[in-house]
Amino acid sequence: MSLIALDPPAAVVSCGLIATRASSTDAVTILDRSHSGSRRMDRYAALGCAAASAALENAGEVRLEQGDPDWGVVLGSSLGCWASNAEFLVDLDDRPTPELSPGLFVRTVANAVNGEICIAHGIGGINHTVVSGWAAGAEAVAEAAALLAEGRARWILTGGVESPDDSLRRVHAAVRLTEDLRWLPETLEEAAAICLVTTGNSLAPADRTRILAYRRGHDPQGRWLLSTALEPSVGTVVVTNSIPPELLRSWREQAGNRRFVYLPAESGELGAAGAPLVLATASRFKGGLSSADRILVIARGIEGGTAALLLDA
Amino acid sequence: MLSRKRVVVTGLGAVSAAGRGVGPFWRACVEGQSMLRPISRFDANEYGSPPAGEVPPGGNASENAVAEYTLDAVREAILQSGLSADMDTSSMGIVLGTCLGEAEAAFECLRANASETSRPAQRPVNRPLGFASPTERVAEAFGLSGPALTLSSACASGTSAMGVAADCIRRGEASTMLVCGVEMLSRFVVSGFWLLRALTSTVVRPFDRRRDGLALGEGAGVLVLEERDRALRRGATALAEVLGSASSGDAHHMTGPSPTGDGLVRAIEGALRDARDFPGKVDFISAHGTGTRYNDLMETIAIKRVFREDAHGIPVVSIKPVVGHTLGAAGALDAIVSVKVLREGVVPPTINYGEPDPECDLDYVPNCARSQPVRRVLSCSSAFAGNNSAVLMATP
Repeated sequence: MSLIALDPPAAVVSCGLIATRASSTDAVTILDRSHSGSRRMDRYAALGCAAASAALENAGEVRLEQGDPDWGVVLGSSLGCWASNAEFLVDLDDRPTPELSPGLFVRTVANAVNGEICIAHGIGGINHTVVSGWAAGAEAVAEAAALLAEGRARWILTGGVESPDDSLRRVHAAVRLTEDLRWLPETLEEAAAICLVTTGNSLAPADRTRILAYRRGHDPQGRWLLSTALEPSVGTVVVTNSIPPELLRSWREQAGNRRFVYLPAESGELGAAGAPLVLATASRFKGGLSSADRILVIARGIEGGTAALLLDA
Repeated sequence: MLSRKRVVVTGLGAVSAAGRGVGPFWRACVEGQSMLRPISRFDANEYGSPPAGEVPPGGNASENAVAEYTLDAVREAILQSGLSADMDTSSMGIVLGTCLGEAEAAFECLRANASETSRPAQRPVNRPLGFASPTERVAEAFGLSGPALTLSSACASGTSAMGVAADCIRRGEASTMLVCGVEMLSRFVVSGFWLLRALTSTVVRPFDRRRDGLALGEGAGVLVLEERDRALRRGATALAEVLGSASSGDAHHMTGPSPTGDGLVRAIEGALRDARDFPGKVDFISAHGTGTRYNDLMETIAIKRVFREDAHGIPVVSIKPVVGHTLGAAGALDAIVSVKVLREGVVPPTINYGEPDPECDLDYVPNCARSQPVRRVLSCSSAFAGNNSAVLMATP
């Protein structure tokens, strides 16, 4: 099975990016202090909300009515709300339950970020939170693009959000103790990359990056996805997540003389935010790295969940 | 526009407080037998010993509960579908909905590694644990190569998974998809709902005037979806056809549903629109029906807004008093009920219903099952963060 073509393609109208290695900033300072509800959010929701707000701001003149069904939110995250889950768990172990915060429990759902974005901007249409590991951001973008092609929304905020905290980094370190997972990166980075995407035929300017096709699958050995997704017009292959060294070598070879970018080497492991970050910056990838037409973006999770996006920048 | 293939259900699997298998689950629903008991897995005295729907022991002790429930239900569903062991899995995928995934296992890892801040991680974990872990377990166990997606839309996760999986087939991403909803009862969720004062102190009474909260449950629901022509070619029995689905955001409040039902109205209307050429009338609604004051009223309002004068003639049923609110599994179990209603021509009751609420004035099929032909069913879920999902199915 090859890539699923999108007809019409989806077009990126604008983007909001937050990528930071700093860990001291709290949710309130990430968002503007006047942002409705920012104080009740954890860092995961705040990052997503801030990136979504930036994408809308960068879009300029777009009209959004309260509960607008033509607008949707489809986001991906590997870790989601785990930081809040960990905090609630520790509280549950350490303190009598009546002393725990019900507000904290509300933050322990992965779709909290979608809810906050919908509330902040009155978005009432399609609403999904994909949490399939590191491929989740690319999977979410693919889902959004397909929904747009089917006419089930006109505008979708889509992308990825990751907000690992110290406790999760320690769990990650524990996973790295397993012999066949030693290739995992030492650290996980925090990032949010959310794009406003629309159907490519009429609502977006002609010079915007377009999502032409996609494929999602479970490919634990990394055998089929790249080979079936490589078409002659692809000039750049971007792998957005850490992969085992032998697979990296194999994919480099398969890419042939195409430009091959291994994003974790540039930006650290961005989890589900990696592929949306490439989508948001695709025009720069093209201008800076390759003169070829198309970019194939591949996101792969630790256990084999994989997604590919074919972009025309 | 992408090509659009027709999608049918060919297999069902369930693990619930009624036991392992669709048989005991459906029997409990039709007979109106509540499986809710005081929680035995941990000391719940500080939460007022609420009733809950725990899965009876008896599974594979080597698995953690979430993986065990999921794999048990998947095996049952695949067996019913007639897909053989040598099935072509290259075009087969999975969409799994869950609130917490294998959280309990991950929490153990947190306990072992996260508190000792001055030392490096000590305890290795043999595989990543997270939302997607049960999805990966199924994909690995059955060698699936199609999409392997995990959705987490809180209590709407199962219904959302159903819609997304059907879309994967319609778009040609896969010819067969497993839809899974799974959740495990834990102190984590019980304490959280207790803090929100959402748990019943008595019994769960959806749509009843005296309703005072929900009871939690656990389990897994699995449906096998297939591209219709392919299923018929291999001689499979089509149990139901998936006509349409949609999701929506309330854009209102993180825990309270929109009092006007706006979000659920958008989801139901979206599913009706997605079904195309659909006459607009349904014969049965599997409601979210948690037994909380706000949810049940909101659902009633939304159903009346969508179906207008027809609303009072549609049986609207909640199975939450039978197996509890199974969170991420709820939508999948509700979808199984919907398929069984289509197949059996029997509408299960909403049990514990005694005192009508003047504001909840639909036909909730109180306490006794009803035989009646049903051709089109709607299954709805609503969730924290304002998610709503709806799936429309019909006799094939």
